[in-house]
Amino acid sequence: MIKETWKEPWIKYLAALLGKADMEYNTAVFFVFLAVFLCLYFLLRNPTLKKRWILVGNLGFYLWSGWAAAGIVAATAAVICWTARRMEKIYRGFEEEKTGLSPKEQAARLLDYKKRTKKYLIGALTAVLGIWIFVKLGRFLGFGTAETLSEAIKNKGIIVPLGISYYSLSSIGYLLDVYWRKARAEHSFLDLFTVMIYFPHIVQGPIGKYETLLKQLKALPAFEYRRVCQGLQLMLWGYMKKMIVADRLVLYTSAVFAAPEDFAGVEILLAVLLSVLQLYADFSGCMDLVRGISQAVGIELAENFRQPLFARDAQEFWARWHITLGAWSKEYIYLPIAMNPRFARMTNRMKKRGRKWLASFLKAICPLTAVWLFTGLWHGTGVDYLVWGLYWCALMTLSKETAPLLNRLKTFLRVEPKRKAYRVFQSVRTYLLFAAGRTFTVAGGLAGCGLLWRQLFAGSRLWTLFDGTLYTHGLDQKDFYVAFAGIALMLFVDYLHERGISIRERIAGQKLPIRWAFYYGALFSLVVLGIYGPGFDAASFVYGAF
Amino acid sequence: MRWKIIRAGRAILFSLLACVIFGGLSLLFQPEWLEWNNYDTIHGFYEQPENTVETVILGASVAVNGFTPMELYENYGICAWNMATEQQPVLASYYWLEEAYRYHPETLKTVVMDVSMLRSIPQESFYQKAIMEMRFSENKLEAIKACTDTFDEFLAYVFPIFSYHTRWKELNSTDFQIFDYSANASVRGYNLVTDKVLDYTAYDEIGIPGYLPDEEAGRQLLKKEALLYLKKIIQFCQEKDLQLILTKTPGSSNWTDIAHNAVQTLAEEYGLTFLDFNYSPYLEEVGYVEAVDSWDKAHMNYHGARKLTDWFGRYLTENCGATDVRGMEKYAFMEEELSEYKRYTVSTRLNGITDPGEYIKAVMEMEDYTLLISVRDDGANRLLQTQRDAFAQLELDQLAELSYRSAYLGVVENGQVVYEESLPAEETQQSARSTAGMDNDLDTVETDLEKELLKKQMESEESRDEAGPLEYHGRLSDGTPYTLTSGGAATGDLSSCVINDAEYSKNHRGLNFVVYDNRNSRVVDKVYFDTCMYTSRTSKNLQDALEEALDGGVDPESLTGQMRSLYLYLNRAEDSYKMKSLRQRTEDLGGAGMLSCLKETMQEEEYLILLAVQGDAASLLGEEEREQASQLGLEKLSQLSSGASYLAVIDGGNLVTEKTDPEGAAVTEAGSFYQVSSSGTAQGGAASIRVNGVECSYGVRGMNLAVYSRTTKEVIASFAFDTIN
Repeated sequence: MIKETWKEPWIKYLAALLGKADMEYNTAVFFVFLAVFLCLYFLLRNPTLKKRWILVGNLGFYLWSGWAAAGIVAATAAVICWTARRMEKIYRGFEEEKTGLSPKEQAARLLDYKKRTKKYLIGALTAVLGIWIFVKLGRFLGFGTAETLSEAIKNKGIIVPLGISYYSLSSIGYLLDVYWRKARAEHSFLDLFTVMIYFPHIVQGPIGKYETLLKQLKALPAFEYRRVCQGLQLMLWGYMKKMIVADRLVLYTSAVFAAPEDFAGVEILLAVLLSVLQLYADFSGCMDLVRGISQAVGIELAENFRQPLFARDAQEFWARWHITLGAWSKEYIYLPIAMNPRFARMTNRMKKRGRKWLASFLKAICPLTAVWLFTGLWHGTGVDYLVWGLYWCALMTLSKETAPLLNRLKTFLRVEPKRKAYRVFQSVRTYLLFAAGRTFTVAGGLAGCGLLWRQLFAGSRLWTLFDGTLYTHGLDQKDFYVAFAGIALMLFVDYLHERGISIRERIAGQKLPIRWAFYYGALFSLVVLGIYGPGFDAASFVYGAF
Repeated sequence: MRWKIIRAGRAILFSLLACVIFGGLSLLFQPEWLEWNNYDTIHGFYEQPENTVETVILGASVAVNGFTPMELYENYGICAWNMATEQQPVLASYYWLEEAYRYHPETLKTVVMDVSMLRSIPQESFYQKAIMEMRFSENKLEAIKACTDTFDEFLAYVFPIFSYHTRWKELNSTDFQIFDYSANASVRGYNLVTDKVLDYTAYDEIGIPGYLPDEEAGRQLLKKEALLYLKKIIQFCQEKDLQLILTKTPGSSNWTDIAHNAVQTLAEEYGLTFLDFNYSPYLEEVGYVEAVDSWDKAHMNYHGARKLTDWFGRYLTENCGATDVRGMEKYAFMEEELSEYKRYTVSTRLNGITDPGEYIKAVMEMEDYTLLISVRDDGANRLLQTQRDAFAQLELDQLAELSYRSAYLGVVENGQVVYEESLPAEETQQSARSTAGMDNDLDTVETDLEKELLKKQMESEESRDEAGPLEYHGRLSDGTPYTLTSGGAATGDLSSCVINDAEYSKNHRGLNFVVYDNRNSRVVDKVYFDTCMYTSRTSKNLQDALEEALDGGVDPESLTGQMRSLYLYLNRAEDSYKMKSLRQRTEDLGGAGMLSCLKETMQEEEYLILLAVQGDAASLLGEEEREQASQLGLEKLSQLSSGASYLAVIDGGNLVTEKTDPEGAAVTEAGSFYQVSSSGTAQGGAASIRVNGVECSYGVRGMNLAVYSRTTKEVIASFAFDTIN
């Protein structure tokens, strides 16, 4: 059909095309953007120019989501930069004063200084958290998103700066680090702004520490074939996970979760089980691809996944899944509460009064609950996410509290914890617990969760696996085969990683034809088997909406 | 430094190789679109020498099937190319016109465009079909720009693999043939369809000779997009001094009066030629007969295309100054293509042959063809001795000796019999089935049963060894493997001819023939002769065969099958047109109309006319009418009194009976299949004309009239001349 743009001259037409296109990691526009960005980047020699070129790239990427959003981020960055410098300036006074004082006097002086810096800290935190909470609240109340200020006012929408959940956390961490004197304040606004909206991590993390990133930004390495090649390989692998496995599985799972009442038994079970793999492929795929891009640039981003599906229990799972979020909440929520002098005094008093168990229980559960309520709310604003957070909190507490009991049971049953079979059992158990947790949120709130569980036991519908009905809900038989092959490959790669084998090093050690076969295989399996193109609305990355 | 150069070289090589693989995959995933000749049309177009094409045809599938440019060349020396594609959007027509001009700027003169697509906007996939295989050029980019508005779509048009990569799950053998698939340029964009001739019992108004569009029906609203590009086409033709001819191919289910009116108005407004072959006089000039010239009432088959193309050849020569390029050195390639085309369309000539012996002989006389014969069920029952002799003369000895229910295989390559084998039906099996002379004896039933079972077992073992379909594996002279199978009535009852994994046999009782073109490696005809039931078959060139039969003095009543259907169809169409025009001329004229209607219908020998008065008809008759009635021999009508009942039966212009009652009392008349009754005002005032139990009278106060045709054995029209006005 003829399109509106038929009359436009070429320049305007192309501008219209680009203007309409979304800038996401799996869109054509991003590929073009990335190709231009990297090619020019590799041509640059001067470190400062390289830094600024990265900033230009970041801005190009960020501005695609609107000027207003970029304005908010820039303002936030300015506040953070200024506050950090301010705090550091105050602490410099302490540094000058402390020489010659006894440690006790030093501590007293420091408290004084801390009080002075605290004002700034609270001011900046209020600003950062304020915007974030405002956006979250706006979402919760169902306001639409707007791109410009006038639009926001006219349509009562909210402007959601891209990656607000990620840069807010990082910024808070940075401010607190400076306040705690763990990190030094950055003096160059441009550099800070560059790492803050660094395009590989702005959309979905990993939630990095600005200090490490700044250090790398200030010492960008020269072009190195091996590093760039490996970075691009990692990127390709990420795309494969995302476009071949995750986007394929989501066709089935979303069909089921959109209308659970039309499915039952094994269909629901399969959807719930696959949704874990889909989420894993999606999120870790995205992490691989952004880490790959960043590696090519010369900046190592923090690792966010370490083969989580091999985790033996909930504790370990969360140490392997979305690592940077866990690390952040441990550092800035768990520890501050657990180490809080008042809290410590309270539990100690309890202990003295003979309530030993309660004291240790409270000591464990209070910070944990805080962490999980925060994690739940970070993922989403509904009650379902709160419940989801509490679910994990309860699981962890339970596993900790029942550990002695279980150990006795194990000796009674003569279970050998070192056996492979037992390890597999543990991993499967963790997988199922995670899958159960997913049910709280995937079907649209708690009501959907109830429906999902009811339908799960409403009937077996086992025959749908055999009579072809399964293949009519968005994924046909061949697609299932491809998805399962992709999953198998993914797990195999994880298994190799678990055993400490670096696949990219291994590939690099091969002869050229074999190396190239790997590259071409990955590239063209992506072209052929990837889910993309017109007629298909590319599923955006699951974690991109935060 | 050296290392750097090697690295750079490797990077370049890697990218080049990636491009090659990407290109290969693109070709693989690009759908072939062999239907409607799409592939040949587009790829063949680019194979043409530049500055040769003079006429280009644009439009949708009806144009693909409607114009065969090679016959334009053969008969008129016009070099044309049929650029139409399935559901071609006018947008695509425009860009293909530009493309045609780009390659043939010096010779391009006339543009023939089918207007079907002015009415509809096809689905996205037809835009892709029409545009994607266009060679990359500025023109193609413009076309893409016009029909895309997102970056993804744009990229998908430029790199088709982005939209077709999902075909990985449906790839088949044709997709992988891509590298050795060459375009069939000899058809010049035409799509050959021969074997669908409809059995007709009904027909639509459009397509009847003499029918003119109803001007008062209104005008259809045409699509804006189509009109926009029509405007561009008009402008382009003016700029480049090309003559644009708008046309609509005949096909009753594909066209309406309102669409015609809309295009006609447009054409008049812009001074364009518009030739609509659905209406008089073009319909008659072309001689289009829907029953045989179309395969679905919308698309023409070969017979129709030949007629239309021939008409166009004359038109282009007389009105558009078409050049006769035959014999010109530059066009020498057309002669080769012509002989190719002849080979490709050989089935259209073989279709006329009704005798199996003559068919075999015709194939043997042609160069470089292989004839594969296999028998199913029985092929001998109705074979005449003369036919057997003819087979023997062609050195098909075993076919000449073919026995009842035998299996038979034969291969004739390039005029030489290379293989023959037959397997006579087993006599013993038949006698074994006979149970006559056996007793229904309870004493011996057990032993009898045992014996019988044993016998059956032995028989089945035997038949497993000997009987069963005949099978032959061979290679055609181009190296293509084939498998021929034949099973007689008792030995499998099948016929199969598998060439390159594709089944070609019609698998019908009797002799099954497959004709293979060795030079071009393709099957050009597949037919059967049911020699179990008939000694010959009906010609597939039905209209020629019918004319021939009627000229030869065959009694139409003795025609059978499709010939009979066609005969009836033609007569019905003729009757229908006559009655329609008669009705227009007479029905509103009262008594005068009634008499001229009578006069005209009485001239036809085949018509049976049934008349019945309801109530009163005297007021229809003035002095003049009464005189005319008496001239026609209808004495009682000429003296009809007011309120009298009246009926008449006239057969082939001769009065059979005429009844009246001055008092209006009911009169009736019954023939073998009809019943007529009439009563006057005083006695109820009813009229009835029943033919084969069906009421055909309108039952109007006044004169009711029905016309029955003895040819088609149907009532072809009913008239009513009322006295109310």
